[in-house]
This record gives sequence, structure tokens and C-alpha cells, in this order.
Amino acid sequence: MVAGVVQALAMVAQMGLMAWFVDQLVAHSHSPSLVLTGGALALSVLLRAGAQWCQDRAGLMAADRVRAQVRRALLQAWGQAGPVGLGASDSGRLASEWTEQVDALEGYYARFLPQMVLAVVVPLLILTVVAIMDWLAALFLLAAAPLIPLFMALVGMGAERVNRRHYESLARLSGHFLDRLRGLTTLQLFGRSEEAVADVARATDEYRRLNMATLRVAFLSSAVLEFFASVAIAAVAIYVGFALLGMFEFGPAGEMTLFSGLFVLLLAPEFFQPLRLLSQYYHDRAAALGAAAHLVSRLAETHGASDGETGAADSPGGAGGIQVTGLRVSWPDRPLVLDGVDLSVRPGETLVVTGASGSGKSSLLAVLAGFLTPAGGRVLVDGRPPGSEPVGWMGQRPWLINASWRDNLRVTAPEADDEAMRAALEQVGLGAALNARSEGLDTILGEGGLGLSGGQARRLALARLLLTPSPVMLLDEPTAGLDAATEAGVLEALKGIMGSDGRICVIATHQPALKALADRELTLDGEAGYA
Amino acid sequence: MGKLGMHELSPWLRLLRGHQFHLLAGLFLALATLLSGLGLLALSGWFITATAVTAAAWAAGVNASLNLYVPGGGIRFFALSRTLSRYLERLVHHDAVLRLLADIRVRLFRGLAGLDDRLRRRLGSAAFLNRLIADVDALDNLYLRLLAPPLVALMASLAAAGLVALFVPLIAAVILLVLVPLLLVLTLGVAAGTRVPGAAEGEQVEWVRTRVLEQLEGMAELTAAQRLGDDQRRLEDAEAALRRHQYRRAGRAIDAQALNTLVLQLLVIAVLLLGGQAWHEGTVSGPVMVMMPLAVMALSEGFAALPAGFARWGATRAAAARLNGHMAGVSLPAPTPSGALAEHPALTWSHISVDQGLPPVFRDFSLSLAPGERLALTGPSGAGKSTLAALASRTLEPVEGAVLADGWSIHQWPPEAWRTRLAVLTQEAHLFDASVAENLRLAHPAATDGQLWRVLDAVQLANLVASLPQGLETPVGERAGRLSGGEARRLALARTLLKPAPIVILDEPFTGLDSDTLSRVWSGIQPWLAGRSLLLLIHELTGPVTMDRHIRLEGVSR
Repeated sequence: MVAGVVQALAMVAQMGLMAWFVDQLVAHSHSPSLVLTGGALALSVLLRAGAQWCQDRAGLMAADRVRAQVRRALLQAWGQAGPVGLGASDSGRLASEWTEQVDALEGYYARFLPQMVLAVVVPLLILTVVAIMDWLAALFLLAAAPLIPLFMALVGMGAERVNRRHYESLARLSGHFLDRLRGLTTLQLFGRSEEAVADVARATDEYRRLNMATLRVAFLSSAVLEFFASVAIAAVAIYVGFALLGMFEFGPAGEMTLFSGLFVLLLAPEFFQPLRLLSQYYHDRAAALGAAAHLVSRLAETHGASDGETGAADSPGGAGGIQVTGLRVSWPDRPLVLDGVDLSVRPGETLVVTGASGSGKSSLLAVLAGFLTPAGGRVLVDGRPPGSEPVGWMGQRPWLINASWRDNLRVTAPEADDEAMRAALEQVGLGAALNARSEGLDTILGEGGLGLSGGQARRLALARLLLTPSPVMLLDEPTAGLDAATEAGVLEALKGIMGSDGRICVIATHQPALKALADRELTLDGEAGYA
Repeated sequence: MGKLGMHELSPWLRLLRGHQFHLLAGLFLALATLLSGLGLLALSGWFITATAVTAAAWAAGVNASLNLYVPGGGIRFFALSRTLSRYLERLVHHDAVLRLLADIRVRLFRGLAGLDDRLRRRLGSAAFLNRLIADVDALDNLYLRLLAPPLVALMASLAAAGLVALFVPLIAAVILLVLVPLLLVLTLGVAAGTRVPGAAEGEQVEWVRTRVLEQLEGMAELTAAQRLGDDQRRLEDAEAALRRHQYRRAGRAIDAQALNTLVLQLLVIAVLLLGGQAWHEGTVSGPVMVMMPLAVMALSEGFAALPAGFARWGATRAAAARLNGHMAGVSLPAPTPSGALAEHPALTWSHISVDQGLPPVFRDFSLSLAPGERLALTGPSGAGKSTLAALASRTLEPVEGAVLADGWSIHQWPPEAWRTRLAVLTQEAHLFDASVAENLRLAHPAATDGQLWRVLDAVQLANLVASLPQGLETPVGERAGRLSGGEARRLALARTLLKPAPIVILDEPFTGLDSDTLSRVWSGIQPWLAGRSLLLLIHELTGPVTMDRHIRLEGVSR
């Protein structure tokens, strides 16, 4: 900002010197030293360019810091919302918020904010100089200036609303694409790819339409400014011309010299320049505010989701194990899923939860993991409220990342060494598959476990679970989709961790073979569900 | 130019031809804007000086005359034309570019829809998303920031030099000697200087987005294991690397911008001093001497946008190269003379070999499914059951052998035509983030609500859907997040059954179902299977499921 003012002062000096040079030459037929004038002018230009460089660099640094901070805050908000809180959100949309929308804040901090101060200071500075030269010319500039913020505010208010819509549509477009791309094979099998292309065309066209609406308004604000600037320059030029001819005798016009006239004319565009830049950056501001509103609502929303406290947070709870009394769970838009569930699992025991699909097995696991705050009841896991200690989790869909086998195993068990990984893979029946791959643990998986069969993906996720150091393991349908022989192998592997070191396993399943392993069984009758 | 990658951009430059009218109009308006600004400033300077000289002449008693109306009118005209052409130019340009972008997106998506399943899956959809949205957006640079501005700046420079050349050719030569190299530095120079960080940035953006999506999808595993913090730190590291690339790129643009100001203003001074010299020698009048530097000064507007635009050259080129990679993989199936496709053909996998991963799944494998036959194929996971479904639906091509319909290779028909004979439920069957009804109607757009309810009833979902507040219009959420795993699977099954095709292939349709529900679903879907050929791919036959024929595949490895 200081650099911005220095830049303006250097510019004023340059214009003044130029006007003086012309005045000396033309009006006084006196030729000043070329070396001295040229040197002074070059100095002012050097100062001007240097100050501009400093100002831009400072803005860039500020924007960089802001982006890092906002992204960190968003990550924390996601963490607080947890898996259940984020469950209904589209991950493509969240990812786009984290990347593009945060980037949209850059222009605001790097350009708009500093320019906002400069847009007040620099015109005032120039106005002062012009007023010293010729107060009537200053009045011309002043007359045009106050109208500008007024128009811009009017136009800007509309631009902001349109911009918010633009960002929402951009995020929706992202989600829409991701969804269609994930289902590309499904679309082909149903022979609907052409319709999907048309769908994408429609979505893209809507994006264009919204974008144009944004731009039409954004451009209007700068056109208004442009108009006033041009008219004011023209008015000053004509006024100065007539004053010099002596055809206009009012006020200071009579004392007009070529120096003061030319100086005023040279400064007139610069008077509007900061405002013009501001209006160019107004687009940045509107984009940033649109994005910010979106981000803030995301932050608020995810905070709200984590408000609830799990009952009996610091009751002593006795020994470890899991104690659940009178648990009630409800989902928005659905009837009560669990109502009055009681259960108790001692360390070293395995509990199998069965019940018709939709009877609330997954909800029970989510409560035990601390993802979901129950509507009522008391829950203690290892003597503490759920979520206060790490637990092993394996969902219905095996989660695999686009990285090596080793990275996939380490993601929840960073301290596991290669030896332990090989042993775990052997245990879940992936030993042969590992040995068949020349790159071993460094073999890269594609997204969604590409390169593995459905069963293999499941077993890799199980191996990760085996490596996770935790007394409590929660498994949602761990053997669904596996054939009997593979399932037996996986069960064998599961048996290895069941009970040892007082580990507790809670498994939601339909498989009879798994039920046989259980120390306890809980059947959710699904009365509260639809069944 | 080759090093800068015009090669990658040329297919996209060709796309411009479709919109040349809009683009030329935009270019003309942009030039008009810049020249109006030039005219306004230069004419004003001339006018003021001319009045001063005239006034001095009057004071000296010389009878001089000055036409006030032509320059006055000119100044007013330029003031208005600058505003108007600027506004129109921006609208015309942006509209043309957005139209162009919509073209690119649709063309690209169509290309992707034609890709082979294996190829498409290898790319991974998080990367796809990034490519489609970010890369296509990056191409918006191509015209609006990279082609039009340097053209306009060059033409305006020539115009300014031409104006000066009318009076002092030597000064015009100086102007061109400075401006042309400056233009080269601000465009190609900046492009070369930011090539490396720009390309690195593009790759890093893609990587960061993949990592964000992975974290979001693994939220349950990470939160439960309390490893979310570690993963967040890893993500922040990746993001910090991205910002470093962005910072370097933006920093170089800022350097170039400062250089731009310095050189251009020094040129203004030089022209002023040289003009002063010329005035001394009596070659030019005072007003013209003032007009010349002002004309150069007005050019700064046309030069200002160049560095920031060309700092994205690397990113634009990398994006274009990636998109080209997509399009290269697109090959339309060769149209072949078609024999008649029977209404309900017998399906034969004939001497199939597939080489997918290690070890190979099939060597010289044959199997037939007669019209109306119900065949169960069981075997351990990894035995290749799903591969048979992919072969039949032509999302995978065999290395050797062929899939035959009534003895004819299915390759002689376009895939879309052939697929009308098949209703396939794959293991990864995708439910779209749309309503229950929209998901079902994918299979049969003309289906009535009654039909939808009947098929939902068959898979035991009618009660659930009826209990939802919006019924059939209830959205299922992203990846069917609002349904349980078993419910989502049954909805996908219902959709497959709804498709009016004679051959049904179901790959593990009962995942996540307890035995009671399984029995009820099995009996419920029987009316929907009547008269159709059925290939059931399942790890083992249980309880109520009975079939005409049962073949057990022994996997090569387990």
C-alpha cells in the first residue's frame, strides 16, 4: 500500500516534469538540459516501476497466506462433521470448494483490498495537485468522481448475487460431471450415453448462461466508470484549451499556462486509473464474496453437525468393553432407526449384529465409532464416550487410494513395517496375489482399487484393518461378495485378531459362517425400520 | 515456437474457425477501444498545446487561427467510442469464448463415453473430473488472454508508430525498435519463463484434487483410526507445493509487469526528448511534439494484460496436451456390414482368451447360453465371472476368440445396437445422484409409475420408497448415500430388470442381502425373468435360487 502511494507520487513527478519540459520548450522557447531532464524523468519512472513491483509482490504474499489458512479451516470443519455429517454431501462439490473456490479468494486479497485504499488515497493526492494548479479543473474531476462509487455500488450489489449463483452452479457442474463419469459404464450398458452427452451439454450451457449474466453486470460497472473517466478527460481538455485561448475567463482560467494545463490533462486519466483498476478487481471481489459465502456456510453447517454431546461423557464406566443402554438413533426423513437398543460386550469378545437390511446395523456401528450422535441413550466404548480413542473401521465399500499397496496399508497404520504388511496380506489370502506382482508392495492401485478383483479389494482393506493398532474393530459386512473358500480364509484371518489382547470385534453381517464365530449375537428386528 | 508447444494447441486453434465471426468482431472492437483511448489522449494533448501556441501568437500580435470544432468534436467522439467499444468487445469476446468452451466440453465427454472400459477406468474419475473442468477452463486462456491481446497490442503499436511516422520517421523507428522486442519479451519471454512452474502447477492441481477426494471418501476409516490429522497434514503438504508453484508463476508475471512499466515509460520520455529535439530543428510543431509521447503513453493499456495472461501459457499448454491425450484414445468403431440381429439370440463365448492382469483369466474358454435358458456360473472371486459379463456387453474385448449371437460375431453391430439385447447388472452398477424414478427410467425411459412400483415391489423396496416423503421422486444422494448398501444393490437390480431386453446377466445381485430378504427378492423377480435368458454370476448357489444349469468355474488362483 505504501508502495502504491510511492508509485502515485513518482507518477505525478513524471507528469509534472514532462509538462514542465514541454512548457519550457514551447511556451518559453528555452531548452532545458536534456541530460538533467532525462535523468530526472528516468529516475521517477524507475521509482514508479519499482514501487509497482513491491506492491504486487506484497499482495501475492498476502493472498498466499489467506489460501493456506482457509483451506486448513475447511479441513478442520470436515473433520468435525465426520463421516456421517458429510455423508449427504457430494465429494466432488466439496473438492471443488477446497480447490477452485479458495483460489477465487486470491484476487480479493492480492488486488482488491489494497486497491480499495489506493482508490481513495491516490485520487485525493492527484486532486490536491490539480487543485493547486487550477481549482476549476479539480472541480470537473470532483464532479465526476462521487457519481462513480454510487453507480458502482448499484451495479455491484447485483453482481454479488449473480456471482454467488455462478459459484453454486460451478460446484453443481463439478458434481454432475463426477457422477456421470463414475456411471459411464452403466450409461453405456443402458444405451444412454447420448442422453448423458445432451445432459452434459445442457449443464454446460446453463453454466455459460449464468456466466454471461455475471459478466454482463460486471462489465456494466466498468463501462459506467469508463464513461465518466472519458467524459471528464474530454471536458478537462476542452476547458484547458479554451482557457489557454483566453476565451474562458472565469476564476483561475485566466492564469492558465501551458505547464499547468498540460499537467492537469496528464493527471486527469491517472485520477480515474485507481478507480478503474478497482472496478476491474470488483469482479475479483464479487467472485471472492460468492465463494466466501459458500465456504462460510459450509463451515457453519459442519460446525452445527458436531454440536451434540454423547451422553455420560465422563462417567467412570468401569472396565473396558462396550456398554450401550437405551440407544435411540434417528435420521432425517426416515423413521426412528434404532429404538431402545441395549448391549454389552466385554474385552476379548466378538459381537455379531444381524438383521434385515435397513434395520440399523450400519447406524449402530456409526454410533460406536463416534460418527453419529444418538438421539438418546448411553454409549461407552472401552470405558469412554465413542470417538475418544482410535478404532478400526471397515465399511461396506472397501476404501482404497490411488497409491501403492504399501501406502494403502499405511494410511491407518503408519508404523507398520514391510514384514508386518506381508504377514497381514498372507493372513487375508493375498500372499499369492502379492507374489505375482513384480513390484510387490510398491505396486500402484488405480482409483477404486483398479487392478484388483472385488474380493481382493475387500481383502486388502481387511489387511489394513489387521494392521491398525486398536482394541476395537468395527466391520460392516466384511465378507459380503466373497465366495465360501475366500470367506473362510478371511474368517481365519479375523479369528487371529479376535479376542487376542482383549480386542473387541463388532461385525454387522448376514453370513451364517460369521455368526458361528461370535461370542454374542444381536439381532435387530428392524421393527423401527421398514422391513 | 515448437518448444513453446504450438503443436499441442493447434487442434484447439482449429476449433476457433467455427466461431470466427464472433471472434473477429471482438478483435475489431478491442482494437477500436485501444485506438479510441490513444486518440483521446493524443488529440487532447495536441489541442491544448495548439491553443497555447495560438494564444501566444495572439499575444505577440500575430493573426493566427485555430479550428476549435473539429478537435473538440473528435475528443468527444473518442470519449464515447472508447466506452462503447470496450463494453461491446468484452461481451462479444466472452460470449464467443464460452460458446467455444461448451463445444469443447461436450465433444470431450462424447469422446470419453466412447472409450473402452479398461482404458477409461485406468484414468480414474477424480483425474477425469479435474481434466474436464480445469483443463477446459484453462483453454479459455487460449483466445481471450493469449491470442487476442498481443494481436491488438501489436496493431495498436503499429498504428501509433504510423501516426508518429507522418511527422518524424526516425522517432517512429525508435518506437518500433523498442515496442516489438518488448512485446516479444512480455509474451513469448514470459511464456518461456513460466513454462516449468506452469506445467508443474497443472500436475499438482490434479494430484491435490485426487487426494482431497480420497480423504473425503475415506473419512470413516481415517476418523475411526484417528489418523485424519496425519492425512490432513499430507494433504496440506501437497497443497503447499501447489501454492509454491502458483507463487513462482505469479511472481514472474509481476516481474514482467514491472519491466513493462519501466520500458514503456522510458520510451515515453525518450519520445518526448527526441520530439523536443525535432521541434528545435523545426521539423515538428509544438502540438505534434506533445501528441507523440501521449500516443505512446496510451498504449500502456494494451500492454498491461499481457504478462499475467502469458504466465499461464505453460498451464494452458499442459491442459491442451492432456486433452489431446484423451481425444487420441477415441476411436469410433468401424462400421461393418451387419447381418440381421435376432430379437432373442443365443449367446456364445467362443474360444475366448483374455489377458487382464496376472495371471491370465481365460485361455480358450467357451460357453453358450440358449434363448430362455437359465444358467448359473459360480466360482471364487477373481475366477473371471465378471469378465464374461464385460465381454458380452462389449466393455472389454477379448485377446482371442469372440462373443457370438446366433453364431455371428457381435462385432458386426454397433455396440449400442447390440446392447439393446442385454440387461446387465455389474458389480459396480452406478446409481446417479438423482431421484429413484430417474435412476429406474434410465433402463426404460417410457416406463409408467405403475411399472416402477411393480419392479420396486419385486425387489422388496416398494414399502421403503413409499415411506419416503417424496416417494419415487426422492433423491438417492451421491453414490446412493441415502440408501443402505443392500437397498442400493436392490435398486440397481430393479433397474436392470426394468430394461426390456431378452438376455439378462446378473453379477452378484444379492450382495448385502440377508437370507430372508434374498428369498423374497428371488421369488419377487421371477415374473420379471419369465421368457428371458438369464446368466447368473454368483459366488455360490444358496437356498431358494434354482437354475436350469450350473457351471462351476475354478479360478486360476485364489
